[in-house]
Amino acid sequence: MRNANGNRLATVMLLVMPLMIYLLFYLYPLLTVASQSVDNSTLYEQFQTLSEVVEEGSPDERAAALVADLVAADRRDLAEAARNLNQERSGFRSLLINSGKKAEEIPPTMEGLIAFDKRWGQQVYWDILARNIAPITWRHFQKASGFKPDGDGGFVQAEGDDIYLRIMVRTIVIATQVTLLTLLVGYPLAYAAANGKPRLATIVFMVVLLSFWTSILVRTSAWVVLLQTHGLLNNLLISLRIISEPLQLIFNRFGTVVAMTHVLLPFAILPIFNVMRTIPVSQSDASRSLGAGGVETFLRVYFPQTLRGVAVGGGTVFILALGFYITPALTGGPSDQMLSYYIADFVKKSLNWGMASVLSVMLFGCVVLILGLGSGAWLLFKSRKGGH
Amino acid sequence: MSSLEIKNIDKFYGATQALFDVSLNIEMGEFVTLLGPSGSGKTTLLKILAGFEPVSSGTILMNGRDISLLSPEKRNFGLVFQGYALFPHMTVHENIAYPLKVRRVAKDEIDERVTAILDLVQLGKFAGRYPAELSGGQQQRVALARALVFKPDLLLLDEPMSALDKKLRVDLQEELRDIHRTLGTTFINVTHDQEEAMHMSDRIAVMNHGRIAQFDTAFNLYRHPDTRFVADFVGKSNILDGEVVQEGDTAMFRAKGVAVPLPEAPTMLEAELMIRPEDGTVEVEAANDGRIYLPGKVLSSTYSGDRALYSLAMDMGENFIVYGSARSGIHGDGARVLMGFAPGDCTLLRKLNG
Amino acid sequence: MSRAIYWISLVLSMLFLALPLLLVLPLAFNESSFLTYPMEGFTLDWFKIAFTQPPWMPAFLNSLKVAFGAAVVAVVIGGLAAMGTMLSGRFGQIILSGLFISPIVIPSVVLGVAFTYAFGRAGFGGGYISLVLAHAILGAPLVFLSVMTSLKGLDPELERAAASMGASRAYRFRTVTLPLAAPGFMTGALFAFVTSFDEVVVALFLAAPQSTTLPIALFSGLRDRLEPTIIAVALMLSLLSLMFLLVLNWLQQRSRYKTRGK
Repeated sequence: MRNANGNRLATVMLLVMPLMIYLLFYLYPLLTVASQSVDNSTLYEQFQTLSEVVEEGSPDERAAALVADLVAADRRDLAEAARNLNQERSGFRSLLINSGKKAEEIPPTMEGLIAFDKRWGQQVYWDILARNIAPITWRHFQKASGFKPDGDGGFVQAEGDDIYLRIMVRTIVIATQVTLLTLLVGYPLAYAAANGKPRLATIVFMVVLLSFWTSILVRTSAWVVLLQTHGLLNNLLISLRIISEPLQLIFNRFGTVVAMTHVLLPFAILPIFNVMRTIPVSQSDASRSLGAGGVETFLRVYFPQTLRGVAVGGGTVFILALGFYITPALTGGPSDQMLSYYIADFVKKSLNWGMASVLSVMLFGCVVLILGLGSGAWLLFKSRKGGH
Repeated sequence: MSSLEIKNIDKFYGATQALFDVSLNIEMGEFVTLLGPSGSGKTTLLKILAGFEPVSSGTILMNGRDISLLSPEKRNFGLVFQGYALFPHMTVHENIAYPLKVRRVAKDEIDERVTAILDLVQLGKFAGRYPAELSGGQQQRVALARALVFKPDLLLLDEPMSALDKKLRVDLQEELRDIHRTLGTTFINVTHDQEEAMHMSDRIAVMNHGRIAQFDTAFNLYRHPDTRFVADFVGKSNILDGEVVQEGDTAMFRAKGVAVPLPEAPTMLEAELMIRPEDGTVEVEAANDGRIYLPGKVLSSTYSGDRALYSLAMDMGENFIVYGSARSGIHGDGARVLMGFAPGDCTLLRKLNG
Repeated sequence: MSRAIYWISLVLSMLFLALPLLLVLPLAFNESSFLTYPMEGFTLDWFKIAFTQPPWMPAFLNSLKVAFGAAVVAVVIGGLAAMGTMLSGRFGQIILSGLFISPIVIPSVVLGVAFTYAFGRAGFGGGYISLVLAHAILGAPLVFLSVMTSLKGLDPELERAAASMGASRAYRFRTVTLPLAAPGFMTGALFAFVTSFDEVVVALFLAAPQSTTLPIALFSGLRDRLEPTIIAVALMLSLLSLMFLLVLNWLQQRSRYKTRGK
């Protein structure tokens, strides 16, 4: 028992530092940025007085609170708030900014407000205010999904508002295409590295490892040189008189998928190779001695056993592909950019942490979903193997 | 007299009990073997002695001092592991010097003692090699040297021969016994191999289902086993199930079709009678010499030059194995024979409940 | 027939994997500034430019500094984490492993956004420290995994053997566990170093102009104008990768040799 206590003390001492660093420089950043997806502190702080009475208060109380908040507001913060509210109903920006400029002259009653601008008499503006000045907001999620509350408790999606959902779908489609291609190209390479004659196996394996260790940027740049309009491939095809005009091979879906497949190939090959290495050759020999042909032996004895490696390799490639940024940015066109690109864009162009955060949450959700499905399938597989 | 006393040890793993009230008294300088089938608790007992497992209850006294709560590094016991556990990143010399460095022995003395012990295990030339460059038998001897070099109070050996082939095993048994004689250290060896146990040990503790079945010399275990388990585990035996009855002045063991007079009246009523294969003879006709003859026929025989081992189907229903003389030929399969034995060569076994 | 399919697919796959770099990298020696064949003559000018003109040399030095710092921090936290995790119970091991490995599966853009936001608010965004810390988080899981693997591969009997010979816990750890796990630490350090050295996405978010790293310079170069200098840099980076691969191979050979025979 003394041993166990000694162990526990050592465990705690060893783990204190890594846990602290993970907490401070990893979990905390992730959580704060994730909280930005629902954070509404700008609007909430702007309309703090109003938020206390907006649900229950009488019209005059609400008017007085609004005017008080407008008087106290900083001009720049108000513009930001107005921009956000304008997304719910156009015209709100001018209403709020105009009211803000003259706030000190407006009498703090409902009558006075309506006299200043009769739009304050319409309930819809007050409803929008009520929805948007709570401490948390679903505004960013609504924008990302395109679904907005229709005022009756349901949701509607306006034409063209599904842009981020379509980008999400595009991201998944590209990741799927790349995954399938890496498996198709990677399987024979893994097979050769695991079962080929020693010399061939070594060469294949070294090429795979070298590719794995070569920087993504270096490999992507090779593809740019290869595929660009006056690049190696086009020049070769023209000099062979197969084509007369250069083909558009890059800055489109083709270039993106080809380059990503190349970059991610080692991640598919290595897990398949590791599984193949553990399958004894005698199994295939046994199958053939029992009368099965080469193809049948492969399909019924060998291939099923490699599926675990295929699943791990494919899963790894898919998860990595979902978050890809560099390769599509260098080899894709505007309509081939993936979710990551837009996340980076929101931060770099407009410091819109809310949208960057929502899209990050969506991307991360996809990854978690895949991991969950994968480990679920693995557990199922294990329990079936263990319990017959 | 100094000694190792193991007193009433129980060991639980969760709800399952691995050791039941185990007690042993081991004299200093003795070579003791814990013998038993797998799952009998012998390895658990060794781990408890080494200090890797705490006892659930009971005490271990070393020269009268309670060591049952002492951690392994404070016990000063040498331990030879089943897989040898040599440090792969150290040479033979460094491996053997390790326990001396731990004890802050001066460098000159370390070199001296390592050289001496390497000579004892006949590995003087291999001091600079890494374990991976040695054969299994050599690794085993390095492990032994390493466990002995710091003059431990006790040497524990955890199935030290199990990874070696038969020939090497016999050589090493010899060598181990010589080393034991030279050093005079107490050895406690764990094995499931009864031949190994009988060759090397002064005394053997036969273990079964977490209990000590019998703790005695090899001779006594073989000639006078207490129970059917010991009789079966230590050598071949024929066992009859029956009862003890008093007939006039003599006590008789009676089973179906047999009555054997017993030299003294035992206390039990139900009992088993053991006859070792070499205590019986295979005859064609009975002689009137006080021996008992039971009829049967030959099922099969194995000839080994000096004698033949017969498997007999007795008329009373049991199957017996008996060594027979093979000087004048072998009885063929199916031949009618008599199995003869002297009542005095039989051993009465205690019958355990359950 | 099936053999033909196998060989054709193998050859095509090999070409796809190896050919792009084999074709493109020699263009670093081409005298013409057009990146195409046939080559017009042999020159080392592009390498000269890479070594003398900005941004390459400063960026390379920045990358070295960041990668070295990140590898050191990653080895400390990943190594301690692995050792602590090894000592904890079954359930604890699952939870802790999940936590310490998790940065691997989080898309780097998400991490980049998170680091930028949190480090910016904490007031140390855009410098070496933030980049070193961020890259250390990316490298720690690799160190963790490789140290875990080597610790799990250790025979627990070795520790017990040392204990039976009288060695205290600390002495056992120093003389047995640590030396045998050393290749795991070194492999992990190498992985962490290379990860940081090649990392673009997080660096794009965090690096200030004066702490531009080589991958960032390469990325901007590729977006800007594709010149042979970039290919020259890429060639040198590939040689560096080859060197890392050889070192890794050597490390693994060494640890295999020592534990052989068991």
